[in-house]
Amino acid sequence: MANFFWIHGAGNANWNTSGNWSATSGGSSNASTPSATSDVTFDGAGANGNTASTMNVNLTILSLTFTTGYTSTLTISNLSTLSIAGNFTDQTTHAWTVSSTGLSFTATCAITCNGKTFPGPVSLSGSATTKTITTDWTVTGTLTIAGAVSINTSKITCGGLTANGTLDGTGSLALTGGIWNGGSAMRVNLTITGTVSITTAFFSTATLTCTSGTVTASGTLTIAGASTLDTSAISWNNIVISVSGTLTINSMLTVTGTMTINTAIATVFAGTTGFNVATLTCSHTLATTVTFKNGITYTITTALNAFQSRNSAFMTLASDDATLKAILTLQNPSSCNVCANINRLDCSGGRTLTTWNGVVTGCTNVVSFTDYNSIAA
Amino acid sequence: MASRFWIAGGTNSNWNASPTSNWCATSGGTTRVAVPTISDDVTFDGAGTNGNTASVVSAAISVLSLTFTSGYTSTITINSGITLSIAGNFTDQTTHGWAVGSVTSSAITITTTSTITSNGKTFPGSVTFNGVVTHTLTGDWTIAGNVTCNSVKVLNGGNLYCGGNWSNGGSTTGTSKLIMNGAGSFSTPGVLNINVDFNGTITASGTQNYGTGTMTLVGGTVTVASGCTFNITPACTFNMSPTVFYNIQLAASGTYTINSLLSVSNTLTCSGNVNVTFAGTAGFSANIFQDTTTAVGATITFKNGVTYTITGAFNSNLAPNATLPTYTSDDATLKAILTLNFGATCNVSAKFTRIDASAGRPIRSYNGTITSCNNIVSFHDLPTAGLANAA
Repeated sequence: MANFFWIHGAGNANWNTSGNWSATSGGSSNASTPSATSDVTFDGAGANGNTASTMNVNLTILSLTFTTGYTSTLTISNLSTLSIAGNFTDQTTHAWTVSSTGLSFTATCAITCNGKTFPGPVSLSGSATTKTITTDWTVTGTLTIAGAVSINTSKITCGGLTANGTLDGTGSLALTGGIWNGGSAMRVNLTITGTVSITTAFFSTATLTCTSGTVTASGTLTIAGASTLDTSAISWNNIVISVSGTLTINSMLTVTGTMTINTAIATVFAGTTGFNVATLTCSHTLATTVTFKNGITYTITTALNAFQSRNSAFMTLASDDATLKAILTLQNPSSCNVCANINRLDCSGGRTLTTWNGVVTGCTNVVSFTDYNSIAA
Repeated sequence: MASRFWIAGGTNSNWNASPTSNWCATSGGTTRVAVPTISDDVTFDGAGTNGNTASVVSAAISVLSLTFTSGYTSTITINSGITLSIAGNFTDQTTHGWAVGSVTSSAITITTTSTITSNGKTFPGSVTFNGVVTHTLTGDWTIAGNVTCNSVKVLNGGNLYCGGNWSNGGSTTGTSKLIMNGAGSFSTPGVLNINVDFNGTITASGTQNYGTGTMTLVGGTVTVASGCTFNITPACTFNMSPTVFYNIQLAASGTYTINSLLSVSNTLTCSGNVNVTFAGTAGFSANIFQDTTTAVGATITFKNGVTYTITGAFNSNLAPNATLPTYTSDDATLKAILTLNFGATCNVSAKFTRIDASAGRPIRSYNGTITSCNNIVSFHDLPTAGLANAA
């Protein structure tokens, strides 16, 4: 581990020029450039210490600190990435110039920015590493998650989100633009505002909020485990519920395609609001229950499919209350392909819910049948 | 092991006569020896002054073997309630007489592996086969009374005629044929795996277990009681018309051959997850046909061109959608005929291939796949007209 202070003692301002670095603050130049074991500091000390600097090669350093004495500009050249394997302190008034590449944090670290904005993309990587965001941090570019990463304490606001690895921790995310894409679970609270495009997304065990903005959802949102959705500003394309648990809905959940509850997934819908989905598909093959909140209205506009289980182990659609009904409206002329037990559902707002061989208990406008002929006649 | 020859002349004509016994260690000899035991070979050959005289089994007795030769023409009496146990071979093909005090109680019990040589001779009483052993019949053996088979055993050789009740408590296999030719009951709580001819006035009740073999109604009647269930495993052949079974349960995968109409007044069941192939020249007529497949996509194969009729209900509704059972013809192009009578109910979720159901009401299959069938329709939703609040 060695200290490298920016002194700009050479003819150019590049990081890979040895004359631009000193081992001491404002000291004389030395004969080397920062490496993976280097703590790099910009403090403005020395004759040229407060001058512009260009990070012109891919480089890994141990830490990077800016103090108030440095007020000039650090440029990260296009296609160069600055990887930091430790702490990052950037809460002063200096400027950044970045293009398509930016910062990469590869290890457990503390990121101290006090609301300062980094104007490019950031990658958080390193399996089982924790990034402590000491105060809120804004990243105007895309935040890429790789590996199993945790963020603690504060919020990262980003201009895009690529989830190539899982994200956990006590911190949170705010997505204000760009694209959310990736098949790994985001397990921190996430708030979406602005103009955002969502393709493939995976969310789990946290709260996803989007009540304003212009959001286009073209792919599938996978929800794994207990989560809260407050996404009235989003018309989701498809939603897949892949892990058992409670899905709390606090504003209208709209799905223009199919909401699928996977095989053997026991789902409880809670919260203050229901959903409006084109197709609800329950893929259960065995005796599993999907529970709706009593008094809440859940609307299906095109098709209700729950036909994988059979008499030997029926799945069940039920209200959460022992006596009060949930309201499941199967709009006309939706199709109904159901083979399930139905408990305490009020379907009077739409067409009759018909269930083949199902046991119907305490319902309204739900009919069980076994022989098509007996009713068709 | 010793030899015992009947010479009579003892205290009385009983096998256990005392103090003067009826037995000699040599044929026609004069030196009397002790009453036979389970280690003795007993022979009636008529030799000696009184060797061809009547003999009475008046008390339970066990011997190693029992042989009658042509020299003995008198009569053996087994008193009522008394059992003669033979732990080995039994040779009884000559003209002597038998008398039994009771036709229905077991007069002879054969307890170990044996060769039974009767060549068609009739025993007028009841016989019990014990032990996990093989009995070989040399020629047919006719038992006028009841026959009881206990334990797992093999019956090989000639036919076994039973004029009374048949009871099979263990698993019986072999090459012998059972011929029920009297008036009695047929009972096989153990699995019976030999051919059976019914040619008398026979009743059946309770639970019956029949496996490999052919059941044939040659003549007479077989009356199956209400509640009686035949659990059948392959490879079984039915040729029982006009017998009406109550329940038949096909309990294992394999081929079931029907050579005359198989009538079932209550339920014909294909047990869970078995693949059943119906073969033979005839079909069935069942009040209820049900398949209880719950997991694996079982296949029920019918013989093309043969008619299978369901009069009351067709139930096949337990398998999950991903593993629906399949009902199909055995032929790549020709259909089997499955008639679901008008008025019957249909609670079916299955796949159908090359089945002609045109002679009856439509078969409606929930989410089924229908290929090259007549009068079979898949559905998943009801016409909602007439239902409350429906379109």
